Amino acid sequence: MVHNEISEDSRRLDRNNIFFKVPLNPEETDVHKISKAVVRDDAADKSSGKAKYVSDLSFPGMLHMAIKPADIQHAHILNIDIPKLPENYTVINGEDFKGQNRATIIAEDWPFFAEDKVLYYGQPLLAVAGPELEICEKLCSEITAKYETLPAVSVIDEAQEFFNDFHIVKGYPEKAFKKAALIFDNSYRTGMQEQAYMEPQGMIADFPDGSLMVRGSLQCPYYVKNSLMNALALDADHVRVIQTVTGGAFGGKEDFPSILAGQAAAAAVKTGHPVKIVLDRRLDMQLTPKRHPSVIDIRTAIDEEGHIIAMDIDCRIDAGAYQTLSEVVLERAIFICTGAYNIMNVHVRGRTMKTNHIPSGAFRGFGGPQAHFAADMNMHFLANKLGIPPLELKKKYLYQQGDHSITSGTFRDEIKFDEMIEKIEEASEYSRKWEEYNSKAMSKPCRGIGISFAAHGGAFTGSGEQDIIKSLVRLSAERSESEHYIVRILVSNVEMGQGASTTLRKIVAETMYLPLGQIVFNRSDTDEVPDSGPTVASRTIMIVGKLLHDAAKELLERINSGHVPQNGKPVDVEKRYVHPQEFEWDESTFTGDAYPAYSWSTNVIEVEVDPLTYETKVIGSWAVYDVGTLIDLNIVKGQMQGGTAQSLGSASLEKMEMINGRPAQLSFTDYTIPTTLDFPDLQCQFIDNPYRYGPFGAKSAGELPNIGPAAAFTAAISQATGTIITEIPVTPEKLDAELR
Amino acid sequence: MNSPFTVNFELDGRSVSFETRPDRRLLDLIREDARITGVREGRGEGECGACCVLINGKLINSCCVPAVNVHGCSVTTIEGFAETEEFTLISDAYAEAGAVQCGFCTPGFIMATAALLKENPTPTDEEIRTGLSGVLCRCTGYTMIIEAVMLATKKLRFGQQPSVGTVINRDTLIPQTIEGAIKLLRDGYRPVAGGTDLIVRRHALLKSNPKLAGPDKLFSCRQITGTDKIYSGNGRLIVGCTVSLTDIIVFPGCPPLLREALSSIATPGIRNAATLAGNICNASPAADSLPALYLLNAKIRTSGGSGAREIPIEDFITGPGRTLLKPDELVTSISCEIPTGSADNHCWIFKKVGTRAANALSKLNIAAMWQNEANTVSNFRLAIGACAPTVIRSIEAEQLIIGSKTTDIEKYLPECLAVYSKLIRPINDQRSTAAYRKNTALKLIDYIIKTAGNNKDNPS
Ligand SMILES: Cc1cc2nc3c(=O)[nH]c(=O)nc-3n(C[C@H](O)[C@H](O)[C@H](O)COP(=O)(O)OP(=O)(O)OC[C@H]3O[C@@H](n4cnc5c(N)ncnc54)[C@H](O)[C@@H]3O)c2cc1C
Ligand code: FES
Ligand code: FES
Repeated sequence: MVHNEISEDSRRLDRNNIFFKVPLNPEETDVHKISKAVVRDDAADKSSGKAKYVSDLSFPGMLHMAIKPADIQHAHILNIDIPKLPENYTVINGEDFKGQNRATIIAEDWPFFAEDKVLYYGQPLLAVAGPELEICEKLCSEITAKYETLPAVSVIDEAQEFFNDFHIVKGYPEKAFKKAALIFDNSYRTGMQEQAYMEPQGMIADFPDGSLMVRGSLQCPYYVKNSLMNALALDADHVRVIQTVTGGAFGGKEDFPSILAGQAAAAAVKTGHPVKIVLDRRLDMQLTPKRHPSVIDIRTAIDEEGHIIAMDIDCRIDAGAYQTLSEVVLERAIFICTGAYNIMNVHVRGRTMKTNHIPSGAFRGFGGPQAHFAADMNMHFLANKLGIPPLELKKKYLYQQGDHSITSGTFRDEIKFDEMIEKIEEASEYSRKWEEYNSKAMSKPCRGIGISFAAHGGAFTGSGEQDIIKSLVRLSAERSESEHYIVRILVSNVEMGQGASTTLRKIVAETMYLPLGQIVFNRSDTDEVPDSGPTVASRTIMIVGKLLHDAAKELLERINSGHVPQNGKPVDVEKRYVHPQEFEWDESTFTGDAYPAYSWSTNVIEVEVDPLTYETKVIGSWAVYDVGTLIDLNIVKGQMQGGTAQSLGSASLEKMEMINGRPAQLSFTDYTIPTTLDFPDLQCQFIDNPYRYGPFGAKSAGELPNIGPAAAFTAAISQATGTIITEIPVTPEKLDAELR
Repeated sequence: MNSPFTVNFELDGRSVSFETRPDRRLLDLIREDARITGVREGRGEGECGACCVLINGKLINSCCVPAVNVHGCSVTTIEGFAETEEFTLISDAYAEAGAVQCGFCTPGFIMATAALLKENPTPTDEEIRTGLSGVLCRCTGYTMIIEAVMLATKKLRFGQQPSVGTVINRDTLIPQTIEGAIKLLRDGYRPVAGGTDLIVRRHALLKSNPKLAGPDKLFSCRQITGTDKIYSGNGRLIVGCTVSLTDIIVFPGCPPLLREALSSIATPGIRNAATLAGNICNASPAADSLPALYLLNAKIRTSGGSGAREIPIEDFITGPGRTLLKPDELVTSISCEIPTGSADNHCWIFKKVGTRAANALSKLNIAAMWQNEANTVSNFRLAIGACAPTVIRSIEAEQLIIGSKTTDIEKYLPECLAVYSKLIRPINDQRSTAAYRKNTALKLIDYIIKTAGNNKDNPS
């Protein structure tokens, strides 16, 4: 029989799908049993250094590879002069791809190696593979290219061309603008942001016996696999992708691994040796996609009673030189372009602008942070214009159950902003401090406080889960040495630090009444796991976790009805995703429910500004989240705090400037991500709001904390300085120029 | 290329010996030659802390340390430390607190935690944050890491101190005497002290443009007899050229202004390796020790060349990265004034405007000191870094303030600011703008002079 740790009583409760709650500690009285924190299975090996990341692996006969980046922004390549190479050193270039010299990253336009043209500074021209890395690097530095320079576009403002141009209308904005008593225009800007995962990108490719095997640090094994099949003209049976322990990703290992894997694979095919490439940090920062910079112009119509009646939003994001996945980032941005606020009449135009720098890519939040920054700061700006406190104005427009989204979808579930506001007020004393600081801009101590609200739609946009991803998960119950069963989770979603290996196991363990130790989560290997989709879009728990929850229920039933796994004969259950019927989506008109469920947050940030140097310091950070049921308190807290630090980083410290298309900050000395001393304790709380279609009521969590803090920070700085700031990062240099 | 060099040291309790290049990074010896891959490389330029190890019990970033510097040392890596009971306690605390996510930073944090708790078993929140400030984590936002360290303090008591290595097999690249060092200089070798500038810069060049990196002819200063001494006498502090910044900071006779300036440099792990001589010889306009040293009339003692010299710092540094040092000269020590006078009339300020709260390079920095007796400001000195090719100190402007009554000091302010305004000629770079540097420097000078007029207390 299945080993059972849970009392009969709670089993009965759970069977009826009622959420049972247990007190965790005196302060946290209202937490579901599954929310109780457990010790992660991967903590010990990571602490002791035993965990093997891709840079720690090597294989017999393995070669190294160095990339030769172009040292020009936009040009025709006239010729590339390659000196005679020593024995055992090989050049790899675009001609080494039998299928296509293009990675599949939604769009198929980004080449592994430049062909006749260079479109951005640092674009790989070729690579050199050979036994000694230092010699490969030296050979690369000796290779020279001749160019004919072309005019380059470096920033959004200069860009004329775009990849996509979308319009969405909600309500009757044109009519509303005609009725407006007041119209306000303002423009908001967000900068480029580097993911700055601590483990640099790396891959090892091998091509023994006509089959390709690629190991690496990555989020989406099947993305990489599909891209390799297309690039090297191999069929599915001849490409295997294995994820290695991944040292952080944040979106940065969603797109680029397809490029790096392609480059390494072409080298392995050509040389017949395993080929390893781990990017040195400077190269990693130079070569890999970053968060899309944005310029969002918002025109707001106000009627005679002071109500916001319409908005006209023009959202441009900087896609860089190739389209890759920018279209989807843009969709996420425009679908939530009024932030967490319900505006009845909206016209939004969205464009992905084409410029000559590294293609922008995936970064936690995926368009959401840019859209929310503009939307939330616009509310702040309007409050100031209308002479009312920002929170008072914001509260009036917060989305409520039954409201309609930009795409005319319906918010079907309860939205508990009242409770969230009450909690955050109590924790942060926002309103009291706001009053206190309000009349004292730029007087010592120069303080301010800001509040923001955010929404994040979980999972793929629109019908993507149903029509494109079609997740398939498998659970496999095996008999173990002892009398117990081992249940193996077979999914392509990866553990990359976010805790998936622990939370997914908890879901299966809780569903099958098994101790956690009997559930096994293997690192993803495409030869073993079905395609349950990429590890992106905060979908792992909400979508894949739910499929596993269902699969676990079925597996338990099968075992209980006598299908007991025997030695060598496991019992498998597979589940494929079916979109809940109630959600509708029309991709051609962007109409309907863009996401099945939304997670919600409110952030309060308190700051102090040095009146002499304009250095800013966060002195308090509070947040309340609604992410449905927490699958593990510590893991979710870790996500929330880490995401908050990234968002605060993007708002204050993290400046990435493109000077003639060339990133000026190419090291952690100059691209300054937060240290232990930059931010105080990042406090967070949760409210209880289980989601009908989520496993144990969980919905999306991972990206949400990266969305709201930046606007709360900027609102706080605005109060402290008495000037409404509309651009992040808010550097002392910008404040100096603004306030002088 | 160099003739091979053999480095012998103790690695996780075993004696090891590697034939390698003298400039090869300890990190590479550990990861590639000794195959201890638990020591991570996150950046390779000293800023991420993932590569931290204990060298003779001190936390140091192994990517900054050249092979020549570990000869005879005892090195503990995470994999060696993982065998101890202390490790288990710290690592359990990390696991329990939920402080491990992707785990790439974790070995670095565990080593930093061990180093911190060994020196300070009951640290405050602030002390933990400072102690760990040299390790970057992108996943956690640090809150749960701080909680983990708090949790560990409740359980942890350190037992015996790790062994300190003994020198074995002397090597010519590790001279014991100044004469030995000078001979190497004459043969075209360059000295490396902590390596935190030299090795980091060299590694970056080797990766991007090996031609510019030049030959790997390096020797280690670290074992030259007598250069590890720090002492005070005749109103001056004397710092040998291999004394680490940490050892200067904890030296009781160190002037508080200098201590504050040195404490603002880098991170605990870097300060354990870096030296004052290196900071001066590197001659970066933004070096954080320099404004204080200019005020304290520091002098640089050298050997070699055509004889020993003692050069005032303002003469010694001639431009960005340029000094009066001849290729066959070695800095042996640095001396500076220890300001006299009772604490209540000796005032000073050091302000670093950096790129973030810890491990930041300076956009600009400023140091000032003065005395305040009978409502008269005396001995006013002020120096500004990163606002011109070399540190700015103006005797002319200082004379305007010296002798003025605190009540009418502001009368001289415009004239004084005008002098500085002419001298401040900053640049735009990846860290800041010329305009910001200039405005901020002038605002800080204005503030300092007004402070000198207003109160007697140390404003820092
Ligand atoms: C992550 C990081 C952060 C940093 N942060 C700061 C900071 O905040 N502020 C700051 O000022 N600096 C900073 N630095 C720079 C560096 O740490 C300091 O300049 C340090 O003091 C250099 O000392 P060192 O002993 O390591 O020098 P080394 O790298 O050993 O040497 C530097 C130069 O001096 C020469 N030299 C050394 N000793 C002698 C001698 N006795 N005689 C003649 N020449 C000699 C060397 O040949 C070399 O050219 C940072 C560096 C890193 C890696
Ligand atoms: S590798 Fe990052 S500090 Fe050494
Ligand atoms: S846990 Fe990922 S960088 Fe710290």
